[in-house]
Amino acid sequence: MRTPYLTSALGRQFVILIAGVLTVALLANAYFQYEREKTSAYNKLAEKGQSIGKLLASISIAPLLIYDTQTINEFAKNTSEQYGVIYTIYLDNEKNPLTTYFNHSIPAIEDSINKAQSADPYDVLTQLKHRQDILHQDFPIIFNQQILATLHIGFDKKPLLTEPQHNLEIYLGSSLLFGIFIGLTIYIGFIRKVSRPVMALRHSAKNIIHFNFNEKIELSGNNELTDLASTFNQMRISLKNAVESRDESLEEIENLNISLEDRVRERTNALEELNAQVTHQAMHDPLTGLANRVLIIERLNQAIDYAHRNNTRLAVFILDLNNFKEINDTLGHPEGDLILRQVAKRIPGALRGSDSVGRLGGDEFAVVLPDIDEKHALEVGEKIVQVMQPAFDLSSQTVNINASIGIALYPEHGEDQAALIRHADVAMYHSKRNSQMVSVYRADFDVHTPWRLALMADLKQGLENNELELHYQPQIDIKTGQVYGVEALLRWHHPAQGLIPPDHFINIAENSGLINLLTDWVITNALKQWKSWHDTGLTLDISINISARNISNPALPETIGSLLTEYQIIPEKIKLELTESTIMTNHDSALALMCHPKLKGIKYAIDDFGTGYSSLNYLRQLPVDEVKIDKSFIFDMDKNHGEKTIVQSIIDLTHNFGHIVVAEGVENIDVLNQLKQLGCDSAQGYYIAKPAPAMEIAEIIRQLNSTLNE
Amino acid sequence: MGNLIQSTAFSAKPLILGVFPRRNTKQTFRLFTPLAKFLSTTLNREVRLTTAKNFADFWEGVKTQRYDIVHFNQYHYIVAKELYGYEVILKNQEFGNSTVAGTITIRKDSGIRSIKDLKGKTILFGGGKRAMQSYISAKWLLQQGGLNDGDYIEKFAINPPNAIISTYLKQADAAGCGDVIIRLDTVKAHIDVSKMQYLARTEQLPHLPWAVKTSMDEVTRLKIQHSLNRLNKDPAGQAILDRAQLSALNLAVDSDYDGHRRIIRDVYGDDYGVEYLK
Repeated sequence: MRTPYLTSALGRQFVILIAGVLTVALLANAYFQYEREKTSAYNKLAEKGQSIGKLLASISIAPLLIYDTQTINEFAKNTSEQYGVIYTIYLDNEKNPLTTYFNHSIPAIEDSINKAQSADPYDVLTQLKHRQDILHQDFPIIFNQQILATLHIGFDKKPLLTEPQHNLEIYLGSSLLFGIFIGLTIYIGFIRKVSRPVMALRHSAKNIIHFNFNEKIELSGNNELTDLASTFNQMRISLKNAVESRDESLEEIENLNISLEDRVRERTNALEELNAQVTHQAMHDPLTGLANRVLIIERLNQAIDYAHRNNTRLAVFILDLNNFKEINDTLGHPEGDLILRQVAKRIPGALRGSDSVGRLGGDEFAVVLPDIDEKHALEVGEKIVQVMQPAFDLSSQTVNINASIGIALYPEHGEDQAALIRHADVAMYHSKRNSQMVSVYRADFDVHTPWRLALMADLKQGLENNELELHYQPQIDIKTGQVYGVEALLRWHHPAQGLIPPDHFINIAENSGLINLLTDWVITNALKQWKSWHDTGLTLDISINISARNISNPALPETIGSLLTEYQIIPEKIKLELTESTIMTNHDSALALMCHPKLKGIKYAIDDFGTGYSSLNYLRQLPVDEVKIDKSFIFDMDKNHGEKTIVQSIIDLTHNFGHIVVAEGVENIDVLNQLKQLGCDSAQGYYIAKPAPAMEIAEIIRQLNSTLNE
Repeated sequence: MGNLIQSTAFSAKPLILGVFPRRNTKQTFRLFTPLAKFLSTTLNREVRLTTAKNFADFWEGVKTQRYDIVHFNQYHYIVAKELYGYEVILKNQEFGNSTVAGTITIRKDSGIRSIKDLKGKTILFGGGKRAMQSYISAKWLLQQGGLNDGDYIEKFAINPPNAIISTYLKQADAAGCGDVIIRLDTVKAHIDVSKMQYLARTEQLPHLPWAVKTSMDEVTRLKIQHSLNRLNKDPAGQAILDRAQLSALNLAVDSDYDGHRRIIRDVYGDDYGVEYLK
């Protein structure tokens, strides 16, 4: 590609620059030369004038002394005939002219004569001396220190300029030709050596801009531009390689990005789904799908706030299935769960859309009915009774089961959720004891609850009579299959009612103040047992359940600390289990307990994890070592993919926090295998071993270690 | 010493023609060389033209009678006749006149009306004290007018024209010179002579004399007198005269200069002021 010279911006600028510089330089030089020659000519003329004048003055002395005016006149005449002399005048001291010669061919003479308006040489001389184009020189003619006369000579300056002007013209002409020659030479050289290579470089650069790397710059010669072209070619090749490499990388990145986006989208969908499930599970009973204790209590609080603001009433129902325990014990938990699910489906059928129903735990349900009075509450209670009347379908049979319902009303039976629930619970027990279906709380129910009071008294008595016993359920390391610890589980051998599960008397103990005594008994015996096993060579981790009421007991750390010392127990082998709901509702106390210096080294586990509504950040703040997944998630995880996903999520999250994960309620080999696949650390459940008395544990562990390792 | 024109064609002793330094040497030779050649041809005898750089040198030649033929002014002749044996044979005719008068010349605008007005003034004489017209005659006119030495300031110009010119140029109040000077072209070329006038003038007296030694043989003297007197009779001779800036050379005798003798005596006394010729 060739750009016409004069349309090349660079070339045009270069031409202008060269022309400008040359013009200025030549003009300046010409002017300098002209001025120099003019000055030189002027000086020469002045010297010449001085020379002539002095000589003339010198030789005029004698003629003047002898009044040889003719000679003076001859001198003046001869002087005036010299080139450039305009006038020669001798004036005596009275300004009388002795001789006068004017060159009348010079216009200045006639002009001065006209201005003088006189022929008198002195007047004309006076006019002449005003003119700048004449070099005026005066020479006094002195003899014996007396001025005889004065010689005045005028020289025309104009001829001085003739030669300098002529030289100037010659110089300008030659300089112009020289400048044109030099300018053209430099310009052509510039075009050939600079502009064309630069154009070639620009053309190549444009090609590179458009990712055309195939056109090579070829310049002849050996200079900076050819070096630049060579470097440019190397850069072009490097860029070409880099672009090709980049394109390949981009393609790979694009593919990876697409793949990553697919995976992220897939993972996001899974997480969204999982989050929805976790959220739902956190707020709902996983077995029945109803609101769990936390959610129903929250809704109750909301209803209380609403009623308080709007000066309305509300009702709380506590519903407990009659004889459910027997059915559960007889037919097994799965059958009991079937009943619970069906109950959960039937209750809403008796309620309004604004009412809420939830499962508090076991076979106990709660219903919140906003803006309702006692009459209508009883009507709803009756409706629930009615929907419970049809037989419940089990896997292989049907059963009839009814419920006892207790009702507490806001605000007359309580102004907070705890009071309302407790009073509804009292009313429910009243119904149960009196074989009534529905009872509205009355104060006399609560104070005079013979069964509860009796059970409370029995429990106190049982503590004293050693009716309580600890059973231990082994926990295994899923990876190794080895038993590493046991969970201490309280059993009450009631003299009349037989073995009473903790669910039935722990609540009474908590409400009666016996819970601290009960917990002390459990801890003391568990640690003593640990010592006993340890002494026989069996060192196990022991997990001990702590009630919500215990964590606010300031004596508990002291008690545990003393026992650790007394039995020389390794603190790290002791693990205190607090339920998720306990921790959530007593966060500060739980944290204070866990951080108590007396309990240094002791480990902590979150029990029944998944049933509460705990945030991950919330749990991260606690010095927890172990998380025990609630058995409700474990039971069906081999059949229910959703349950398995939740378990997987809990395991992953827990591991992310650095905690050990324990799965409760493992009842078959499939669940155990899946837990192993999901990376669960530990497991306990009927499939591994049922809770057993301490004396049987050593044998059970031996069998387990040998069996599970096979 | 003056330059000599030598010729070996003649056997007789060369005649020396001396011309007084009225003009400079070069001009003198230029003017009178043809005349000298004419005399040589006429006399068939070498005539050597000579002059001198100044009057003193020239006068030495007169005093030693080195010149056979001599052309000088009237005062020179009177003294030479008296002391050194020279006799006048011819006299100049210039501008058609064979006489000349001494003058006191002034500017017309000078305000001077008589000789007495020159008292205390500067008189510029056209020659030295041996100059007949430019000094002796002018001084005689001043004496006749009542002004004696000390009544005026004497100044001397290099020659008579310069006396006139300088007076014109106000370098002096009056000029002393011959009446013919103001008519010279050289003067007219420099000044406006119409602005000058004679304040006083002597009678007309014979012009510059040509004299020969009294010892010269009669034939030679007559040949010289006759041939020169006849120069204006033919073109060739006229050319010689023209070259010498003369109209003619008229015959003259010693008594023609008695008027001069009287004036000289009036000015210098009976000894003719010969000390001025030393």
